[in-house]
Amino acid sequence: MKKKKLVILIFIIYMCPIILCGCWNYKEIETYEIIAGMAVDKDKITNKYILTIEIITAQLQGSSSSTSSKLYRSEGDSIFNAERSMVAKIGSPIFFNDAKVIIISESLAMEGVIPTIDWTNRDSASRSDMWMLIAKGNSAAEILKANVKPNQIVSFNLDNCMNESKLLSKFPESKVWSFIDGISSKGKSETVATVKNEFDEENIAPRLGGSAIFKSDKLVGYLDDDETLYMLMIKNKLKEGLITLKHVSGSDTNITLEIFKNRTKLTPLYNNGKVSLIIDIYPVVTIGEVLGTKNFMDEENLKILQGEAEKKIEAQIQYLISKLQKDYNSDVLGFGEIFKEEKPMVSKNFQKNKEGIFASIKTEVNVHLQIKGSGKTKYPISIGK
Amino acid sequence: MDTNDFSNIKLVSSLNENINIMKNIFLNDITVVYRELSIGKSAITKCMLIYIGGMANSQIINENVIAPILLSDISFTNHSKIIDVLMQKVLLTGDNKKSDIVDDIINGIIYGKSMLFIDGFAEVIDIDTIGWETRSISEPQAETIVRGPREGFTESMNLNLSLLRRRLLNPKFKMKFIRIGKQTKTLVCVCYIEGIAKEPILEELMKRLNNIDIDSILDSGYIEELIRDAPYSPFRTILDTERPDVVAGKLLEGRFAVICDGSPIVLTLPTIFIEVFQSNEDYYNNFLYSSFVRSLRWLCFFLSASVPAIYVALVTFHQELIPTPLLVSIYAARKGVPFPSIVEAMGMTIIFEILKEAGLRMPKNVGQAVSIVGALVLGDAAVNARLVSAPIVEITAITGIASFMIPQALGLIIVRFIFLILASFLGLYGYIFGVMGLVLHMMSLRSFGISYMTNVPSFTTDEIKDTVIRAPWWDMHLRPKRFKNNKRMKK
Repeated sequence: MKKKKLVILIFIIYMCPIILCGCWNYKEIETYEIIAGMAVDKDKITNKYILTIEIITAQLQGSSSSTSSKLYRSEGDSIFNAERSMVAKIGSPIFFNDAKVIIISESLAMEGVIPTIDWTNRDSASRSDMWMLIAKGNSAAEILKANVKPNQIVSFNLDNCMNESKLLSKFPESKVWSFIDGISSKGKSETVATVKNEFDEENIAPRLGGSAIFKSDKLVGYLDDDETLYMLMIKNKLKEGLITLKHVSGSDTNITLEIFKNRTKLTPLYNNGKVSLIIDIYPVVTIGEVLGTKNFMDEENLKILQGEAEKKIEAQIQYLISKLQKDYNSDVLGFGEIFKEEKPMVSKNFQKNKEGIFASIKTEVNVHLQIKGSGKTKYPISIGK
Repeated sequence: MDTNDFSNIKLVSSLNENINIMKNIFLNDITVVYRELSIGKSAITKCMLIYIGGMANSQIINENVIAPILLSDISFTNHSKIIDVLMQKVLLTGDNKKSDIVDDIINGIIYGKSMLFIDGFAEVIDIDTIGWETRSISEPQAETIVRGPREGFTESMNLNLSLLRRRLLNPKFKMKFIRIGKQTKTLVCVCYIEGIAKEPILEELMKRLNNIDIDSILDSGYIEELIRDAPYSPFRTILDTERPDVVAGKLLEGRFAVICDGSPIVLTLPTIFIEVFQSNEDYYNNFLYSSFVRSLRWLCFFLSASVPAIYVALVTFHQELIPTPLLVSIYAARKGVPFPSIVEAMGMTIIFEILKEAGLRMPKNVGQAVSIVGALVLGDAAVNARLVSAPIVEITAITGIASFMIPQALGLIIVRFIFLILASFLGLYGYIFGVMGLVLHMMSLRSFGISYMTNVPSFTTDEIKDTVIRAPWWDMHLRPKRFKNNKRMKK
């Protein structure tokens, strides 16, 4: 009987989202214009928002049809205004549900992004799990104008790249909802993936990499690809990534380590009015590449390699933390939150004194690297003598 | 006036008058043979043999009836015992009996029996000489299987009963006969196994059969419609089959079979919903494979009823629910198609039904035309012409193929249309309303007192054994609970 009830309950729970979600308006699918992504710029002179959207178009060739994309641009005093005046241009309602990315220009982000993302977050048609990207250097519309491949939709391409971010760990996964979530909590700052156009073989293609540092909702600076990796490492969000060591133990051999598992533990301490944080990092790596002939698989060399790798990670992390503390004073690492959770009294004290806790944290980094293996072969490629 | 009622006519002892009665009844019927005979070489008593040429086997009549009567040299000392003597000592046929009811005599003659009228008696000897041609036993075209017995029922009730008896060598296999149809007097037989089948169901069945008031029964389909529960429901509360092994299996589960003379289709009842998904082959094949196929059939039931409705709901109401790549491909396919999705779905479903029906009725020689034209109407050409979009062709094809997966024909097309219309008004919300209505309707159905959805919402191990899955034979100990008389073991 209990089992039966459970099955029925599960069934009802499963049915509910199916019945309740979705719109009740009858509208044929082809009367919509499906949006793949959008870019927001601001005209500095007229002070109007410029919305550029990428629309999926279908070309009919006999019975088969192929899809490609087309850009539309409109201006308005607000994003919503711009979107509505777009309808007058295109002639059919816009279907925002499948929009994958919202790209915000650098200058707009420096002014603050709340006016830009509020509509995205509020409107029932658009989804807040869109990727949020900052166009570094370029205007945002420029990113959508790049042609990756003929007949390819730039926004979908960016979406695919963002989905593979785990493999690279060179840019953070930044969704609109998580950004809003992050900036809403006190003292915390967010990072957003940056994108910029680069020359490829023949054409211009957008490339993701690095992250934009925000303080509240304003863009304050950038981290490059490697710094982003260490930032993710501290935040315990690193899944996979590469670390390159140069001239290991003085030899001419470079080594690429592949991180395939990482765990980071943050331990907050409070002593005599001083806050400090012990960062324990446990990366598990394999030797992914040996760019030379020196054999690192014997015990002695392995120890040296391990030591050097640990030292490099530690140095990079210390550099990153001091950069964030001194240059930006932006707590993208979530240190304030750790204190809030584990040492609430300390956190409250700092708040009372209206001091940012982040800038005064002393950190100690311990890296416990574990080299697990070396791919298919243990040895470097040797040259027969 | 009921022309078929002879109850007020009585036989008399004069042979000539009796013959006149018969000749009046079979007025102008030149197929009726009147053969005058005299019994024995001494030729004292006159008699008349009446039968219908073509219905009766003339070889049997010549060798086993006429010859012994003419050639008998028994002297009849007691004239009054002449009938008994003839029956006991002269006639070489198996099934002889005395009869004096005109109704029976007429029906017997029509059925192929021979009636021997003897001068001086108001009785006749009813001689079984039935010998009309029947179709030989062949594999049913509508229910083909790969593994299992290949025999199928024919139009002859005797043959059908013998096919059943050969499988149920058991004196408890009982039959009840009844004649239905004022004009046709069709013989209908109810079969069951005493001790397994429930008495109240038998009583109910006989009551319903007795209440039938109709001129003719030409096929068991007439009976099915006349005695079924929920006559307006698209779901069938009585199933049919052409296979004796299926009938035997159902009888052994405590069900009843109704055999109608002249029809190879045998009805089985009471019917529950899960029977629709059962094929006799399930029981002959490996149980794992059978279970898999059965769950596929349930899936296909769902697909066949719902796919067009869900498609229309998603495309016209809930575009948000479609994953982006699929959305884009549907979007691209729908561009340039002039009709709304609902018109497309309705139209294609109807066209599919037309093709199906045309293929059925078409003579075999021109059958190819249907498949060629069908491929044009329901295929690439239609998409090329931009009359329909490619997804709807796919949807129609899936729906059509899925509906063929279910062994017993269901009125699913009605359900499909209702779902489609609801979905076109209200999207998935309407579709779910349809599903709820369907479930309520099915739950309220009964077949001869048995709930139609028996064992569908069950989760106990015993009840689930012969439903979506087919448990191995060594694990199926109990007969289905609702029909059987007692809890005896199946084995």
